[in-house]
Amino acid sequence: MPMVEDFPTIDPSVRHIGVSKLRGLNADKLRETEDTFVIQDNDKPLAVLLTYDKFLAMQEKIRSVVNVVDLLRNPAEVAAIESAFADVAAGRLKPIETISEELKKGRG
Amino acid sequence: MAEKPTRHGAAGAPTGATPPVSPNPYRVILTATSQAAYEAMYALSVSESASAATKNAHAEFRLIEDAVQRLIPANPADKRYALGEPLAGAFRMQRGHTRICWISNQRGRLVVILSIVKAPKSEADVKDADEILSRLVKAGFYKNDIEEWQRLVEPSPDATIQ
Repeated sequence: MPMVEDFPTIDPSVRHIGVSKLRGLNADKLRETEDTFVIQDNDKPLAVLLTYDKFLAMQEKIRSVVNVVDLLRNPAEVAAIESAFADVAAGRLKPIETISEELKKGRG
Repeated sequence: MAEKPTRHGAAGAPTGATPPVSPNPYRVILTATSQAAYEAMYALSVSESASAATKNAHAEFRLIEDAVQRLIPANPADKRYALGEPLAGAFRMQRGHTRICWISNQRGRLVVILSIVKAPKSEADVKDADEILSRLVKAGFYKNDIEEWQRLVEPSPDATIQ
């Protein structure tokens, strides 16, 4: 069975335009469009222009994936997360106020 | 301690402005796992020893205390700290050498600190990519846990936060 990556994909929101067309992109047009532009010179892609919101979404996605990989690379942290979910399921939970109070009393 | 959140972090480390006080603040709850780590860090920080290690432990605990009691409950769904699959719905913050992971429920106004863990000291303590992949296979496990917890803490329509 072929992998999804084996199929060619076409994103109709991605438009390939020549450098000369950049002059036609004023503030109003940029505000209205949701498209992503691949700026080309003689069919050679030079730059990508996308909405600010799309860029932020991409940035958040990348950051969240990097954050997960960093977590998964630490066996102690993975073990702690698994233990923590077992705590949640078993109701082994305590408010921070109670813990702080107990620590304060223990020290006194 | 809980009534008066600390603002100070490590010596000289900026901790940012105090977030506005919400009229309906989040309650912070620790799991037994994160509680044990928090208490161990506290014990090290109040050690009588005047060694550099003790001073570092004190600074590190202040950072964690500040994060748990002030930063995280101020905006527990901050996208900057969001985790992706298989832990989508959970969040993770780095404070010094420590990593804090939590889940939150906006309607229930709850934050659960899942773990407080030190970062690996060397690359030798880090797992390789194969191990990561095997963890990713367990994706459903984490996802179901988070969704189940979210369902459990959803308040009933007539419930009030104490």
